[in-house]
Amino acid sequence: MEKGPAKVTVKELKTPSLHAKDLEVAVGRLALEEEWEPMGPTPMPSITTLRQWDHKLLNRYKPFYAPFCDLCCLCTFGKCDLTKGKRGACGLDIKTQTARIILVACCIGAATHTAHARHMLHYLLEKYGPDYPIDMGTEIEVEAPHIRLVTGIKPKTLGDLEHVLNYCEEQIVHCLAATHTGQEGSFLDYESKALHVSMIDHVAMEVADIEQIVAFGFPKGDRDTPLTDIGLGIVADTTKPVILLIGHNVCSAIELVDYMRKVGVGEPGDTIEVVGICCTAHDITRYTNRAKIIGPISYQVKFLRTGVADVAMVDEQCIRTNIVDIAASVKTPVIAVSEKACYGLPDMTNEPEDKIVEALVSGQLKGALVLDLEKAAAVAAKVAVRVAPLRKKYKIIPSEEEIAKIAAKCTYCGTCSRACVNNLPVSDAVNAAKKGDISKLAALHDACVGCLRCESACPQGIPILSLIEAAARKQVMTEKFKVRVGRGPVLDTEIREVGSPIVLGEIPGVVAYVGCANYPGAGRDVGEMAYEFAKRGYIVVATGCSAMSIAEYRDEEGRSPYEVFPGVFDRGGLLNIGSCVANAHITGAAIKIANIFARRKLRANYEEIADYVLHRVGACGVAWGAMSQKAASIATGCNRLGIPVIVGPHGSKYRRLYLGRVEDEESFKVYDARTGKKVYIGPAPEHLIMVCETKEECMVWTAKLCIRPNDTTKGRMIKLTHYIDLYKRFYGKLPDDLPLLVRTEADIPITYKDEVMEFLQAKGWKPAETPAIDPTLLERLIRARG
Amino acid sequence: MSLLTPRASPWQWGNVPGPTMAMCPDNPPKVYATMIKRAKNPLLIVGSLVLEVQLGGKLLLDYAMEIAKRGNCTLIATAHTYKAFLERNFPAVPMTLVDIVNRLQDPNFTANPEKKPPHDLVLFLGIRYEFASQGLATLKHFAPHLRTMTLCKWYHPNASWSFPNVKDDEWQKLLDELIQALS
Repeated sequence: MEKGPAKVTVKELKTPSLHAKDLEVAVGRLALEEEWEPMGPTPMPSITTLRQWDHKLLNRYKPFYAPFCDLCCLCTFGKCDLTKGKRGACGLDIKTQTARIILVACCIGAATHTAHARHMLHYLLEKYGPDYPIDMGTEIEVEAPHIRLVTGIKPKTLGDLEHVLNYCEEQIVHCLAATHTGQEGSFLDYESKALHVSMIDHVAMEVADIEQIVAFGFPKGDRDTPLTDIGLGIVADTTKPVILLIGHNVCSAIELVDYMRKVGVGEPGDTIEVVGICCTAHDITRYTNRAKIIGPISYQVKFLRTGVADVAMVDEQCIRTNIVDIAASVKTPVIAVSEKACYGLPDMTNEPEDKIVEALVSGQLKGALVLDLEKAAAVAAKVAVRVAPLRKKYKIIPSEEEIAKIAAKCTYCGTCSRACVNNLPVSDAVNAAKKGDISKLAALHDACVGCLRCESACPQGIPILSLIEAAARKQVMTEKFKVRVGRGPVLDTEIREVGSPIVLGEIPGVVAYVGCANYPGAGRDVGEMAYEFAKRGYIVVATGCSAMSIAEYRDEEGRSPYEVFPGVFDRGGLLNIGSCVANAHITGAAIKIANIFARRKLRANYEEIADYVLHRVGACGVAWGAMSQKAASIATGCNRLGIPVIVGPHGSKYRRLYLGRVEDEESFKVYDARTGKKVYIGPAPEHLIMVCETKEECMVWTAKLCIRPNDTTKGRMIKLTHYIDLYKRFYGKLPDDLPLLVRTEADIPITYKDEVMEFLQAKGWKPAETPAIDPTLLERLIRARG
Repeated sequence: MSLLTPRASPWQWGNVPGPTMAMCPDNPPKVYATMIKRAKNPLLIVGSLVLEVQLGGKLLLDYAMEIAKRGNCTLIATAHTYKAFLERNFPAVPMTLVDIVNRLQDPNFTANPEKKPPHDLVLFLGIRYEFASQGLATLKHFAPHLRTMTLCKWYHPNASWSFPNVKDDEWQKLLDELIQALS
């Protein structure tokens, strides 16, 4: 670990050419890193250190571009039209410009997590000091797989994390600088930089979650974290004051709970309800499961308009940017606590607590910026208690009887439907409501992402979302589910148990449901998919909004998936890992499999570990509702580590995929590390990031993308069983690519033996010459030359 | 105030890609039929909405089969639509939308081994709006050897030719007339 700066003071120095007194020499920082493992080849890689690895990946998984905009508007040469091969004034073509925008998105994502980690670290260093130890519990020795892998640092204290963040910030700045006009000019190099900054994103996420786990005492990989309430209907009947938390940085929420304990109002739910939306909700339930989760990002306006929240305390990320006006419409004061999201509110940080409370209770201010978190928490609690009886849960969602009257203004112009993100038949529904039929409006509730574009577009000013929620009120009242509290990292002990069956393929895969709530349909579709794969014996992990949406699915017995499957990292487990930043523990688990189970060196050894994960760890990410730039960098970071990702149809608007082409056999050849011979491995995995249109298509591809060249015959047989089974269920036949995936007869699932053999013979299939190989893309790992 | 006509402006208001947007002929069925008949290796790509949308009591899937049959188009069944074609004993190739669009950038690719590459005309039907729009954008920029044509009820700016924005009854009429014109 770096320590310093070190200073040497010399009282008097005499040499033949120099006479100095009180000489002080500062030598910057001293490297005092404990030699916990020999330093690997790529400590703190620069933006080109891992370029060769990226180009190996991009040679197989070539970038596929779907431009979202044909113009470039970034400099004063423009706007430049880049349509169909035209170049802009700076020389860029549409492919390179699209790659550039992807890099910008990944930089934004990485910067957001890094700033989140930095902001939280400032707060924690002030509170606990730099020597506060990083203790992840007795079952976790590899406390920071990403940090160790990328930087070579083994962090022991909160202070050590500063150095990690310094490195992350430097890399982000370099990558962002590459997007300036007249810098990078190759789409492949833009992609390499996107992969780099997205790798950094996972380091920063790991820093952030380690900080909050050790400082706030969050679960350290507990297998049986408690269940907590989730749903739009969980507090609909409460008469207590309700504080709503929105965002991702839990520090202010922790201060709130601590304040409530200190002043004797008890735990959340005793006298004041504390509920949350988005990742702060996940994280506050990791602190106390008496707090409740309303749901994902898409529930912000839906919930606020119910009037249940008496105060909204917002921190950072994924908050509606006109939150103050939305909250004001139901007389809910807003307290903003982050420098990154001030919303034009007056800075009341240095004002006396009571003055802020009075201003918010009286309605003199719609909201206040309070950057002192302790003060913000006290203000939130005091305002909630005082404002609750005044507001009387003031809401703007109309009664069922009022719907037709409001809808009467509709001229059936169709503008709302054309504004809808999900292309829902909004106009038809409002028009039907005008005639007294509210069922079509109610039917929109599940797939409505709550974006308000319909209302914003409506020339008549109809509050369409409120009408939808009014029509769906009976359903909303029943939306009460159970979610398992985020458990944090996968334990080293769990990795030791499952490392072998995962790498050999006997556990058919690890499926991660992650990302935002811009779903193409109902959120519970994610739950349906997660349920299916957990039932099949895959290890299913989840974070963020997806972890919440999984809870909304109910099986035939009315149970949430979290009530059915255990929270263990083992066959058939369903784990809520935590908030967005906890995504680092999912990729971290893949790294730990390579390190703990396979004993690959971890320290600053990125290429080798990624090569291992790509060829041996049957993991697949599903970001069904991915929306944000953070989701772009999380997915791209998975890709650099060799983990494929599926995004839902809205994910096509990220405008770049990494797709393999099975016909290009050469690109699916690897070295057999034992012999040095180049060997064809089949499309395993076929793509690195792709889009599926429906949940059925997604389930088929999820099973397929868990196939790896290292699978044993037993493992491949198990994986093919699930792939064939799902394919037959949704497509009605055997998959056409079976000849590429069946290496020998022993790979064929017993239950489909005759059918598959007949199919293969008809296709002229022949067994692979070398079915068992030690696959690698890295020449340096070849042990003997063939 | 928009300079574009409501019928031929991007269905989703914000989906304005740039200066090159789809042509929207005055009489789409007639123009489309002429072009489909003239194409050497036409392809019809269908998405999940063919299983969901009913027009005049007929599933959009039935329209797809009629158009593919009469237009001599190879049919690509994306999402999980393949099973429905199999059950109706209708020839189709199962593939994801991104896989087929990725290959269509290659002028040496054909989904129908009985016909020479490239596919010179690609029709889209029943694919979610935003997803189809992105696929069409890829082909607009990177597949100069082919033209695209959309058969949905939305104006798709990234296509070469698009139906206008229409309500279901007019959409049904357009599809019926197209089938008629292909006969």
